[in-house]
Amino acid sequence: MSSLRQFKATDLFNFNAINLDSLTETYNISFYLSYLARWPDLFSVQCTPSSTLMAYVMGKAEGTGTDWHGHVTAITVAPEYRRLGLAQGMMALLELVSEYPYDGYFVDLFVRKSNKVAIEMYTQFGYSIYRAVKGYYSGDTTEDAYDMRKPLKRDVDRKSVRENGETYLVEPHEVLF
Amino acid sequence: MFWAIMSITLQAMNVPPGQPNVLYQLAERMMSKLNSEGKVGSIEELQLYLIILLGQKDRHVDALALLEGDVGVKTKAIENVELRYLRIQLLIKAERWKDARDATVQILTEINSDDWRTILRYFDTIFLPVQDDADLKGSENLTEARSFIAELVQKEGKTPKRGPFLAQIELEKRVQEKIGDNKEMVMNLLVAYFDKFGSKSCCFEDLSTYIANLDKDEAHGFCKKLKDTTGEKSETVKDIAIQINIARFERFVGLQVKLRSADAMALVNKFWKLYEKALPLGKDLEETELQYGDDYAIMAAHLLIDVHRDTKSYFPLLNASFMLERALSASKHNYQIKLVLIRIYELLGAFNCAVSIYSTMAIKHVQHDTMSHFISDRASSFGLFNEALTQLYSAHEIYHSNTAETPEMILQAYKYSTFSKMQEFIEFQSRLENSLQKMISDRELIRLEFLKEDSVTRALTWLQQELEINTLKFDTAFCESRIDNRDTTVMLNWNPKDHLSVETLTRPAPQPGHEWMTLFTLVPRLLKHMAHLTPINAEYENLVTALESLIASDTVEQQSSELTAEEIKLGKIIFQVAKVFQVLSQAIVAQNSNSPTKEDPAKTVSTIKEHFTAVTRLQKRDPIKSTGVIPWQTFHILTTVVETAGYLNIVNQCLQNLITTKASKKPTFKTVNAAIQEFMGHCRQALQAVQTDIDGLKNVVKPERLTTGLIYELCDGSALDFVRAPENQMLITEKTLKIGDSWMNSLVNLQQEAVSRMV
Repeated sequence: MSSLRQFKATDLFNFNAINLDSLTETYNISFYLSYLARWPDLFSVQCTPSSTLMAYVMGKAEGTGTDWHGHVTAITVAPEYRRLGLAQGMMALLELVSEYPYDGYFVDLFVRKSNKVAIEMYTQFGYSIYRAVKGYYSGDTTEDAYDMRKPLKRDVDRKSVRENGETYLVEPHEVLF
Repeated sequence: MFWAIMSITLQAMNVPPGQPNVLYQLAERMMSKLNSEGKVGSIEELQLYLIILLGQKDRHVDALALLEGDVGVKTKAIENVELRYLRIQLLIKAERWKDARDATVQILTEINSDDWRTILRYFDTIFLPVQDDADLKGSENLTEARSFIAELVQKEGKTPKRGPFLAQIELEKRVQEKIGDNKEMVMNLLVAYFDKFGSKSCCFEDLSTYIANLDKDEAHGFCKKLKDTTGEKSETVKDIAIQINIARFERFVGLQVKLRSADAMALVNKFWKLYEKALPLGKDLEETELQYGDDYAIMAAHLLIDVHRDTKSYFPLLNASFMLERALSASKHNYQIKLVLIRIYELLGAFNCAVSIYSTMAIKHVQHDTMSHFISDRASSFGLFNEALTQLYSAHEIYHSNTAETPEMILQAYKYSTFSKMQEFIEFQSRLENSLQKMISDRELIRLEFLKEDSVTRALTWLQQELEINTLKFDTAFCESRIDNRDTTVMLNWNPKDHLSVETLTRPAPQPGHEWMTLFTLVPRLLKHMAHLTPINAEYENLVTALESLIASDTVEQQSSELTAEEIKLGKIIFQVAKVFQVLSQAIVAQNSNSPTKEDPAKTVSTIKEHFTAVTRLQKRDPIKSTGVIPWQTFHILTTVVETAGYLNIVNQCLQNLITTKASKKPTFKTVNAAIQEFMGHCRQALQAVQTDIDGLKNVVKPERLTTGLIYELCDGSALDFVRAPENQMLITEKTLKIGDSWMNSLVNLQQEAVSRMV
């Protein structure tokens, strides 16, 4: 069991159990603080009873018109706390906040095309592949990303759900909001 | 307008408690005016208003009124996770028990049954209203709580959340504490919890506080029950996870401590066998994933660390390093394995090996403040000054980043009117700005930068021109206002509560803190004073007095002393020569002015000689006998001697400079000069002894000698299956040679440093 609360700047001193994991990137001060400054309610953390940090999610709100949406920038769970439903709890909160107060149409996130485990998890949460972004991930190997979306209440016509979205290919520059 | 109120509020927060604080009242008045004009409309503005109210004493009822009133409704405060929780806290403070209970029940039943802080607040509404524990027994509150939690438990389906189950245990534990006669209930729940969640890695952490509360027999009984029900099955991934949890509990309740060597070794063998058995199950895992049996390897290492501490032999540590390296090769990203390895390599005196592992951990940005102590504490001790400097410089970047970036972020908070974050950002900035680790690494950097100057002239120039003392504070107020952000809990630890943690047990020396910081502030400050040939003033006397009390025998004998024996010796030596400088400086002034209080030169030289003799006595040490392993301790001794020699070279030069540049009657001090020369001879001898020691050690760690010596001894007739197994010989040889390589690097470098300091 955990406590789900908003991430505080000082949590950066206590997140090593999460961030030492190789799949979790540690960014500079500005990255975290700029998110906290602008979207404090989209940055939440799960803690153990003894206040150890187990997982956190960073989100933002962006886009114009019917593209106004909540976006998951990063979601990470410490290795020993995986498969406990922590990600689901944080995503649910992010979706709730994307609806109120942000009033977004949908929530989206980017995931590596090869990351079958993550894609399956998000599908379970109600996300579907909206489009593929060519070469989104750079580094040792370039890799396409799937832009997965979940419609919120405001998306009455469910425009953020697309059949066979994985075949809809776009260039990286087209995904800037 | 809100910005102005925020600024006043921030100022209000900075008023020391106890002092009259009109700023809060001013902020409140401004806020209230805006509110009456209907201008408070956003969550952040509401939070600002709440901050102002709650910053004042006993305003929780007003804060509640605000949250539950028009503004709260307008901003839908109740949908904000923090404000929703705040309301519950305020309701409890206002003793509105029913409302608080209803609020917590609603969250637990409708939103999230797993939210622990809400569960705890629920318990507050149950237990706090009952004044007398005796009343609790038949109370409605207790009945209601039991039925509500049972309901939550019932609702959990196929993939149950742990919250309600743990809540049951917490509830019954509290009943046991307050009324008693509930031990059996608690035990049954603990066992049932393990039954349900025992295959989850977090199960150990979930239950450990409750197990820690049991007495020894009960705790042992718990482990026995688990073993009886699960047997020793280890065929599937789930089985393995269960067995590992049981092993963790067994360690936690004390079943793995104070074992005889033979028993410990047998257990290590058993764990390693289980580790190997789990490997095939992980053959399809991604490279970034951890092997299922990794914690067995770590537990084996913990046992070997215990054996090392008991027997004082370094063989267990070497063996642990081999086993961990083997595990790491199958689980490249397991940072827990890396942390233990880093510490083991440091204990073994192998800095290059420790750095090699540390550099694969991608420690960045804020992590430098919290984690760099693993590699930078007393980094100079290994005699590899350039390597140590590299580590310290890269870790120090974060403090520059804080100065550059964080103020900008505070402005961002203003820009977006995110009032709830401003104080937080300010606190964050302060924690980095005033970080204790920053000061400790700063002092180590100063030592290393001094050590880099291998000629007396360059060192003097460095002291005079480059060393800045504005930041070299050591007063109590300064020390106590440093903030310790160091992470010492990230390392896996299943030791019993009354035992030291693995992190503490694997430190080569006591963790540096105020005392350590003070010693390495006083030393450079004294040297700088001497380098400038500044006359003796109150500041100098202050420094000397501070040093004297730091190294005083009662501090030294305290168990909690942060200083190693070598560091204390260094402190004592510097104290003695600081006195010499003082005596000489004051004698010169007296002689120059022909003061009536000027003493007989014979007395001056006699006092000086006494101090020099004290130093010579302190410098005496036994030659280092090599046992095949060169641990941290040995390098620490040698490096401290070399470092001290560097300081003494400076002091001796300054003493001579005092006479040649400040004394008008130089012949008066001829005998002092002679004493200095004689003393310098002793210093040279100390350095010569270092070189002799190093020559001997170099012989023993030559690769050829290691192969026929250390490696042979390790493997021949080892009690460890891993070490005797032929398939591990190559790894053992490779890793031992790497350690030997690191030792040789350190020795060669130290020898050069010793030679260059022979003046």
